[in-house]
Amino acid sequence: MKTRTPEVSLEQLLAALERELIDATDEEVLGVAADLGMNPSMKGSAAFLGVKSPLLRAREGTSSAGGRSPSHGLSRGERSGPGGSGR
Amino acid sequence: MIPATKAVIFTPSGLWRVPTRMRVKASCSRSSQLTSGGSPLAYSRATALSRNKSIFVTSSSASAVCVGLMTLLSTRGGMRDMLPQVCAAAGVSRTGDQYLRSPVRKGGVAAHTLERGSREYFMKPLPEVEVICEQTPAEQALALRLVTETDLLRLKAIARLHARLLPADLTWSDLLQEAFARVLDGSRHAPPGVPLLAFLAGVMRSIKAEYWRRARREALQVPKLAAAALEAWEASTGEPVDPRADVERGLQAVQELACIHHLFADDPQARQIIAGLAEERSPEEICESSGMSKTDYDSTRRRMRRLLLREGLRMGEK
Repeated sequence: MKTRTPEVSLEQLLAALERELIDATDEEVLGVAADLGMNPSMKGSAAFLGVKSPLLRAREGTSSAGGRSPSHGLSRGERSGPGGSGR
Repeated sequence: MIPATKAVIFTPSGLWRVPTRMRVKASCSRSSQLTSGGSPLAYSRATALSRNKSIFVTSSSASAVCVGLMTLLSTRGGMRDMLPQVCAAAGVSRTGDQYLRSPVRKGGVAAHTLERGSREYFMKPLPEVEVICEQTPAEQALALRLVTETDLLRLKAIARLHARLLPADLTWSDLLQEAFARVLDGSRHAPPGVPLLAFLAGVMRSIKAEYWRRARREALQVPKLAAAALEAWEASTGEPVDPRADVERGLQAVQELACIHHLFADDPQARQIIAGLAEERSPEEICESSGMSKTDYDSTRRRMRRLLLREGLRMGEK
């Protein structure tokens, strides 16, 4: 019987899911960001938190910043939605 | 002349070098005015910043100093949307927006005096600290046009995919930035013909593997739970696990697989595809074994991609 370890399965699965993300079109990526209320074209967009700026975590015992409300952490322009002041 | 201090801020999630580009002069005592009043601990941490060029953010008071500095950076540096996160990290009551609306109190460095009604009459004026803020490695790669902004978002989603079960001291952001840092400093070279995105994803995987290797070396005992989880895996798949395999590595993999399956819990077709992908089956084989049409297969893959992106781009630390 062929032996397949969980590690091998995981590696194969992660590699496949990685490819999915790498192959995602710009439209798909930006569409999902827009669904989350983010506007990556805006300076200081929350979409780049942890990427262009440091990721700061809530202290133990407090709720995470992201968990407070869906709009928590979004920039003002992003909170105001499409048509809000961008910069 | 006060020498420039390169501040290093230690956040609960690890270390963030306050990096090169932006230079902001911030007086420590002034920054503590921005916070909830400061405290002896905040003062001592601020002193530590000026002496050792570092802040340990381990308590709300110490974090308050960090908030002060970060607020100054943010108000001048365009990182406004991270302010609420900073405040959450510090556990302060005021929101980032309130900080932005309340300008720094006017007054000299010695404004903390008993005569003026401050609680911090014992505070002595501190020398100004020049915080040097440089770009994150990911931002440097963007400036060098190695990647596009959309690529950064793809990589963020990939980093999050890999960081699902990492402990608190290694976040997805650490994985991402470290991968970029290694490519930028030349310690990792992309082989010819390998796209940078795929290469960076591989570097993230190897950083994660390194982390677990180190953690395993440091582990003193193998928990009984590990063996139990592997037995459960064997029972569910009907396939024996190589007895030579590292038990802990196996446990880790089982947990990660469960985590990914859980992500697609509401989508039976996605789960079928996931199972097929884990066995490295081709799309045709997956369609055949699950009785799925090519159209169903493609639309399920699109749903999966969307869910992965959504998980990868959402707000929140994990």
